[in-house]
This record gives sequence, structure tokens and C-alpha cells, in this order.
Amino acid sequence: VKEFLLGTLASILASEIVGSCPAISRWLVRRAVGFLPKESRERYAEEWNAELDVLRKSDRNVSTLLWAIRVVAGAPRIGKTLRSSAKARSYVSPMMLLYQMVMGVALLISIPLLLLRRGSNYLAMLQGRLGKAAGAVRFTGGIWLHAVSVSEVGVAAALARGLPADVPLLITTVTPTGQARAHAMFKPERRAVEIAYLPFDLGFAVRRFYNRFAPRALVMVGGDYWPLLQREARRRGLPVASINCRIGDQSLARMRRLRPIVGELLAGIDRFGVQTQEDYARFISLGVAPERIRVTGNIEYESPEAFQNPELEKTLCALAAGRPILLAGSTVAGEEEKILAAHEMVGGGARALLILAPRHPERWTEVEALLRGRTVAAVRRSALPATGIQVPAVVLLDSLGELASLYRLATAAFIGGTLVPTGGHNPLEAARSGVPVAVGPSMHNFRRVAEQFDRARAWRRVCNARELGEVWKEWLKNPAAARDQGARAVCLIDESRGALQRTLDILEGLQLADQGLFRSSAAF
Amino acid sequence: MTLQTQRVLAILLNEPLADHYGLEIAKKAGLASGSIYPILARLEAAGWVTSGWEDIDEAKEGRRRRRYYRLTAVGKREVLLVLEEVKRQIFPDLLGEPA
Repeated sequence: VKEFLLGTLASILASEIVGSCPAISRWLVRRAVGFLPKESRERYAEEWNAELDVLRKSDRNVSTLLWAIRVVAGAPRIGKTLRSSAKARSYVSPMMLLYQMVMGVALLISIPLLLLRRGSNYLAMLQGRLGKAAGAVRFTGGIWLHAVSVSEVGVAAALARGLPADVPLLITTVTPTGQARAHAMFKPERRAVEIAYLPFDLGFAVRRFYNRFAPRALVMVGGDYWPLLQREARRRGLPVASINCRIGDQSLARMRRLRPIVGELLAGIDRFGVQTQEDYARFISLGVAPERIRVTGNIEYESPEAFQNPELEKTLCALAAGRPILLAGSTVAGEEEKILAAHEMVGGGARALLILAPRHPERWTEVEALLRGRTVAAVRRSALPATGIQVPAVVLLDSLGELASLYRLATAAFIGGTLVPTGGHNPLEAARSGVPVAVGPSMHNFRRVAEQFDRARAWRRVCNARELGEVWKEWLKNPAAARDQGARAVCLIDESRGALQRTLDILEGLQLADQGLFRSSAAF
Repeated sequence: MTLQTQRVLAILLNEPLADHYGLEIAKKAGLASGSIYPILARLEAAGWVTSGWEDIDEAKEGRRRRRYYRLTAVGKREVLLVLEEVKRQIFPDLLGEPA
């Protein structure tokens, strides 16, 4: 009887213990989570409870208990790993500390100056650059394409066409103009895309940005390198590529002077796609291993056409009232007077409608005052379609992101930033539309493109207002010659294609395939 | 690198595009379930592995979302280097290295 009672008791106890396994396991998971740093507890509790459910469903109570015992046994080690990882992440080397201090001071000085000089347009930019973008993030885990200039946004848009449509994109720029261009070129209804400002290279802004968007790969268009930004990419295991990059003479001299810092910056980039053999040699001279560089050519030749605004085009054509349209794009201070003089030489508003597009938004009011001072019949684009002037001489394009699509309306164009020594702006958007283009002597920002255009006589060089007026007059008088001039540039652009595919090859070789960002892989 | 870690990496490397959760990795790697998490935490801290939540409607699926693990590009590169080194140590003659 005693044996029977003991056996029964043991059996009841065993079945009680087994029956209590799930509860004990849950309790053990709670104990295990207690070993972890506070910020990780929620995540692991959710993860382990989900796995506990899987085990419980398989109805193996003892296995569940054993699993929980092992989890609690391993938890102190996980806690140690997480704490030392957090410590390593928060460690800032003296050099980086100094860098951040210098950056901080430089920003404190330059931000008020920027706001004074460029106005409140830049307030939203400041917020974005501190990593505090407005609105909720819709997509995370995408490919991050960073572009600085307007033309680099075009390169990013060209590249985006070659990337799988179902992969989200994160596009960053640094100016309101760049943002406007990105919004014009990346339509959210066409693909999953987030457009944001690049954060300032300050620890808190960079971390906030990465946490917000959680990108899976970083592709920098051109050479806008930032130490903290790239360091964080490495820490998070992101593949990093710099594409369509070039090194100008001045940049090379500067980079050579700062070689130890630059070497470290470039070492954090997995692949470089450079525009020419000369750039290839320059990167090697800066210590980049040859196997990480490939000459791809210039993707700018393959930038997609800007999205059109048929309403605006219709309005402008109505305002032109049968007159040809002359377009002066991306003009800078000191150029508008010359352009107005050239317009006058042509015959003014009686002969052609001039669309004047200053490069920087903060100059719109200044240019309007100039037009008023000269009693030119002008309207601002922002006032359209309602305007008191039926047949204006000039339309002041006071909008962002619309210029590129308007070149195709013009009979002749001029690229700003070239009649004053600022280095010029991208001529390819205008040239691609087939409009004959005139540029001034200053084109050193686009030296190689300029060399090609000069060689192919794909544009006309002018030195002053008089020469610009003569060229415009010639093209208005002889539309066939104007068309030939435009066609020459289109032909040059067509011949220069191929860089896009070579760049996509680089990205595939960068193991993005293994990130699920490409469907197939190709050798680099 | 311990043998257990190598097994975990082998699972992730074999199916780089698949989503793996802890229990599943442990099972495939032949490891005692529950002992996998310190390994995954270490790999994640090193940037070799990344993790993210499963995107499901928990009410509809009738279960909690899982935490999925995947090799990063850096992780893959490092694993391949380790494999290369292991090969070199095991087959020095085949690879033309001095014994």
C-alpha cells in the first residue's frame, strides 16, 4: 500500500511539474530578460515569448523547460555582449571628438549666417539636417542613394531605374533645390521612396537618421564623404559604394594634404565607380586598392527626363502667344543683367518670351526688383495662371524642380553660372531636350563634359551679353540651324551612354544580391 | 571562432535570402535550442548579422511575430574570408602554401 501511495504521489507530482512547465518557462524567460540591458529587454522578451509559443504548440513541455533553462543560462552572456557593444558604439576616439567639436562650432557659426543670407527657406532644411524630419517614415530597410547637386539627383534617378522596383529607396540631398528635384524625379506613386535631408555629421544627428530609416546599403553619388556617417554604416554592416565619382584638380590637392584622414574615409567604401581613367589613377594615388575601383563613365548622360507639368507648359505657351521662348536657366548674381541685355538685342518681349530661372530661391525677390527697376513686363511663375499682364516679356521662374522639364519648350537656351566665374551648371538636362544651348566661358565644374561638348561643337560658347544676343538672334532667325545645333548635343549624349549598366554591375558585385536587393548576382 | 558559431554562420550563408528565426537556426545547426541566442547576439554586435521583426498581422496569423536573422554583406565577406583561411590551414598543399 505504501509503495502504491508513494508511486501515485510521485506520478501526481511528476504530472504537476510537467503541467507547470509552460508557467515555469515563462517565469524563466522573465528572469532571463532581467539580465539584459534595459533597452534590449522588450525586444528579447517578445522574441523569446514567440519562440516559447512555438515550442508549446509542439506540446513538448519538458523541451520547453529545457529551452528556457538554457535561455536563462545564456542570458548573462547576451547581457555582457550587448553592454560591451553599446560601450564600443558610444566610444568616440579623441580624433573623432575633436572633429565633432570643430563641426559643432562651425555649424553654430554658419547656421545663423546661412539663414541671414539665404532666408527662411532654409529652416526646413536645418530641421531635416539635424535628423528631425517631419512626418512618419513609410519605408525602412531600403537602398540609400545620397546625392548633393541637382545633377547628382538625376544620376540617382537614372540608377533607380535599374534597381528592382520592389526595393524601397531612401534619397538624401543637402539643399532645398536638391529636395525639390528629388520630389520631382521620384514619385511615391511609382515606387516606395523616402526623400530626406542628409544629417549633419554630428553623432546624435547621424544615429537618429540611421535609426529612423534603417537603410540596408549606402550608395553615394559623387564624392560627398563624411566620417561619422560612413563609420555608422560600417558599424551597421551596410555595404557602401561611391559611384559616378571624380576628383577635380583642387580636390586632389586638398585630399593629398589630408591624406591620413582621407585614406581612412576612402577605406570605408567597398566599391568606387569613377568617371574616367584619370579619376582611376587619382584614387589609386590616394591609396585605394585597384580592385575596388572601376571606370564606369558618367551616368549624367543617362539621367531620366524630368517629369513634365502639362498645365504649366500650356500656361507658358499661352503667355508666349506665338512668340518663341528663350530660357536662361540656373542664373546667378551678375548674370541676369547680361541676359536681359541679350534679350533686348533680340528684340525684347516683342520678339520672344524670356523665361528667367535664378539658381537660388533666395534671389527671386532680388531678380524681381531688377526686372521692376528696368520696367520689364514680367510675371512670377508663382502668380500663374492669374496675371495682370497678358503678353509679358519675362516670366520669372520662382519655383523649384520645374526648370528641367521646360527646356523642351524653348527655341534657345542659356546655362547660367557661366558668364560669371562660378564654374557653371549642368548643361545635360537642357542639351538632352534638343534645344540649342549657349554657355559662357566658366564651365570648370563640368570640365570633362565641357571638353566633350567643345570638341563635338554641341553648344555655342559666348563671352558676354552681346555675343549671347547675337547667338540667340541667329537661332531665332534660322530655326533649322538651331535644330541642327540641338541635335548635335543629343547625338553626343546618345554616344556617351553605358555608364549606368557598368555601375549597376558594380552594385551587384557588392553583394547586394545577398541582401535581397538584387535578384541575381554578377561578378565585379 | 567556435564550432557552434561556424555552424550558425553556415546556416545563414547557405540560404542568404531566407529569413531564419532562432529556434529554426538552432534546429538546422544541430545545437541545443536556447543556447543559440548568445551566438546570435555576438554576431549581431559584430555587424555580421542583422535582425528584424517579421511583418505579419499577429491576430490574423494567430501567433506572435518572429525575430528573423540574416547575414549582412559585411558578415558574408568575413565568413568567406574565414572559410578561405580554414581551407588554407586544412589544405595548404592544394592552395600552394608552404606546409
